[in-house]
Amino acid sequence: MYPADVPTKRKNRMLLWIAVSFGVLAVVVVIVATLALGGVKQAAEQNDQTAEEAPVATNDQVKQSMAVLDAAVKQADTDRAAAKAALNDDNAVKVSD
Amino acid sequence: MEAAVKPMSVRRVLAAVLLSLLLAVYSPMALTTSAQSAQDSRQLQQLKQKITKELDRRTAELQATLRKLNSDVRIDNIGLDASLNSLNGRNLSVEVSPDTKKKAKELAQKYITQLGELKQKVNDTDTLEEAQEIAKAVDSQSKLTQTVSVQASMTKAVESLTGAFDRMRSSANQLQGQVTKVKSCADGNSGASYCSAANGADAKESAANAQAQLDNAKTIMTTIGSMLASLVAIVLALVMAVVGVTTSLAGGSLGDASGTQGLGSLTGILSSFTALGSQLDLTGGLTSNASGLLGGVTGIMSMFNL
Repeated sequence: MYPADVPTKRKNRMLLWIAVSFGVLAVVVVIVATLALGGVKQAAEQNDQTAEEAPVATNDQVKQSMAVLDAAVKQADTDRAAAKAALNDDNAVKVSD
Repeated sequence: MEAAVKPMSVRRVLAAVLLSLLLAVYSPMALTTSAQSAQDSRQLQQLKQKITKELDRRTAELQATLRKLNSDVRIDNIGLDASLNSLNGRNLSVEVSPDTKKKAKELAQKYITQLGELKQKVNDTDTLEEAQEIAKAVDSQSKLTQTVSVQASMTKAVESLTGAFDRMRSSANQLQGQVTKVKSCADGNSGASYCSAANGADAKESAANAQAQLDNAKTIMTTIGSMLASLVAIVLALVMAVVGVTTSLAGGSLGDASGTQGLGSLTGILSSFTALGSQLDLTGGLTSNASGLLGGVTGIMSMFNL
């Protein structure tokens, strides 16, 4: 497996380094995975909480919102009529002879 | 003592006769010239009044449109139900970009200023010929000022519709929350206070009815969203086209525009605005329909103690 001229002591040191490196890498992977999973779980819990806590509008709030909508639709109708009037404008008076 | 009266010499008599003749000839000429001058002056005043009136009309129209454009429409785009917030993965947020509005306003403002300058020029004119030249110029650019007015008012119309759509999404979102809550009455929450309707209506049936109407409204709203997105893009393109043409016309100043190639482009742009107007009508009609459906859902939900 190793060249015959490599001394046993050096081989052992290399094996030790490899083992330690793998060990450290494994610990890092575990820590990162734990943190990531924790984050995802927390976000999911937060989403659930938000969904649960989303307040449902009262009838009064909906009525108010619908009144604002009606006003916005009427305003849009008025502005649309004005735009079309500008488009069909035939009020221009010929001033030259 | 009485001085002796000398008889007039023939030369003097002749001079007197000639002077009389000259006077007799000059008087009608002077009268005619004076009358002509008075008539010219009257015509000049009439023409100046006519031009000023037309310039005032155009200015008033542009100012009214500019005032409307200066008020912004509120677009929230927040807290919307997921089903209303996206269309095929695209965000359904539709609004006229501030840049489009800025360009439309700048153009309208520029023409208001130029119409003011033209009015001043009319006031300062003291010859009929000069006034007639201005009158010709004013007539030749009537389509130009109309296009400037149309681009501004169309921008405002599209903006108002995006505002109405935004309010509609907000209302639909609220109603969906209410409908979902009433639906839960059939899933074991029947004891909740909001489950008993004022007129004894069945919660499950009412919720199903409301959901059906809401779904119809949502389908229409998806179409409105697509149409509005298209309107927003078209109005930007047309505003840019108007900016381009007006800049090329007489160097952007209000001179005599007759015979200028750009006037042909204005006709094309106005036709495009006509098509935009038709699309606006269609979108406006759909908005009213969807709004009516939401009104129906509101009616159903108001029976419950929400």
